Parts: sequence; C-alpha cells; structure tokens
Amino acid sequence: MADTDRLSGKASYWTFNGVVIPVTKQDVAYNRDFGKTTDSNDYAVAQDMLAHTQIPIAYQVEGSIEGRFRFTSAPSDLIAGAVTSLTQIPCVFGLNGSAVQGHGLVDLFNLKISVPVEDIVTYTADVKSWGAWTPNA
Amino acid sequence: MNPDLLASIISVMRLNAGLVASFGDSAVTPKFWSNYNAFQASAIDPVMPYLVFVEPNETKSYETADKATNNPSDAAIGMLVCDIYASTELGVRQLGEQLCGVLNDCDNVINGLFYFRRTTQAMPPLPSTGPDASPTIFRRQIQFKYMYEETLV
Repeated sequence: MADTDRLSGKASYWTFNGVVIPVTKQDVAYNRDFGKTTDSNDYAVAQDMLAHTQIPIAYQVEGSIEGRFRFTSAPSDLIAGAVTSLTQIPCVFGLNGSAVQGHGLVDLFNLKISVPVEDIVTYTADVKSWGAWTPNA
Repeated sequence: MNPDLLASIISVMRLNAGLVASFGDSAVTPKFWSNYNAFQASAIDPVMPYLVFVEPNETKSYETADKATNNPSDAAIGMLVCDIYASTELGVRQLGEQLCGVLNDCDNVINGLFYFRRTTQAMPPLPSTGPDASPTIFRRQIQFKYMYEETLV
C-alpha cells in the first residue's frame, strides 16, 4: 500500500510563467527577517544578561532549480528572461498531482548553464518571490 | 528510439560498406554480434574477424513531467563494450579504429540518441596460442558511452 504521508519528488513540478518546465530538483527556502525587540523586560536576573527577543517583520521565498537543458523551454523561458527586465513572473512549486508548496510572483536570477563535452547539458537557476506568497496552494 | 539500441547500432554499421568488407559481414556469415559470451575453444577461430557487443550497465536518471507529453522522462546513460577478435594485433587495432570511425557520434543518425562516443579501450590478452606458443587470437576491447532520452508512458 502506498505511503500517503511521505513522498518522493517524482511527481513534483515547477511552473514558471505559465509553463511547466521539466526539472531534476527544486529547493525552496522560506526566509524571514526579524527585528530585535529586546528591552529591560528581557533581563534574566539569574544570568545577569539580556536575552534577545524578536518579531517577524518580513519574509521572502527563494527557490533553486536544477534541470536539463531542453530546446523546448530553456532558450525561451529561461535564457531570454534572464537578461531582460522581465519581473513578477507567476511561479508554482508543485509537490505532486494534488499538493503544492505554494505559488506567487518571482524574479529569476543566477541562471547558470553547464555544458560539459562528455555529459548532459544542465542548468541551475534561482528565483526570489516578489510580493506576497501563497503557501500550500 | 528503438528499444533495442544495439540493433540500431549494428544497422548503422551495416550501412558502411568499408566496415562490412573489413569484417566480411554478410547475411550468411554475420560478424556483428551482441550479448553472448564469445569463447574460443580452439587455438584457431575460423570466423575471425568478428565482434561482440555487451551491455554491462545503463542508468536511468529521471526528470519531472515533460511539458509536451505531460509524462516524466529520463535520460538513460550507459556503456556498451565491444570486443573485436582478429588473428593479428595490428589487424585488431585497425578494425577498432575503423569501427570507432563509423560509430563515434552516430547519435546524429539514430533517433533519440544524443551522445555516442568511444571512452576507453584496452587489449586484454587471450590464452589461445599455437604450437609454438605464439598468440593466435587478439582481442581489442572498446567501451562506448551513450545517452538517450525516453518518456515514461
């Protein structure tokens, strides 16, 4: 019986600018910025120290993509976009046919295409969210 | 892509008249074989020269669903080993070079392939000897690396 709680990435997908682009790996990082709010109330008497506290003030989602160069997608969807002012691109990080990590607008950067003579041509690229990100949907 | 990669490879070889002539390959006396263990039971092998391909390894490396077919695909990366048998050392070397001249970059003419090249070669000695203990069969072993793409359906 199939495991319904864990999963592999075999049915994952990456949608970028409305196009499902085949990839070999996606990494998604959820970064939050904090502001220190430490004041005299955070003084720990027994330790004779102030213990920092913070409040979340901002977040940004960053994704890293690894894939194989394909003429059907890499030139038009990635390379062209990497050298223009193209911004606020719709992006979805899909987990499988029914679940997604989230979606939102992103900007593409750090596109790197590796062309080894004796191996398959691959690329890596990073995206960074632009504005609000919708998690789990 | 033909599911029998070797059948496609041998078809390419048989389209090259020079290679066919060098080996003496014909419908009656085929000289291009695959996936059997050539064992010389006697000091003299009357069908030389000939060659045998074997497929020691192929690895599938998967991608997420393809944009066009909506099916996952994989890159199959593997190795073909070709053993060429001939009666002289120089002859077996020359046959090896001639074979590589035909097969290197044959991915350009085989649907689905996107890489095919010689990667390593060796001269593994064989125990077959004549009455004066001189070698009677020489073997040239050439490895080819290949890559092709296939889609899961």
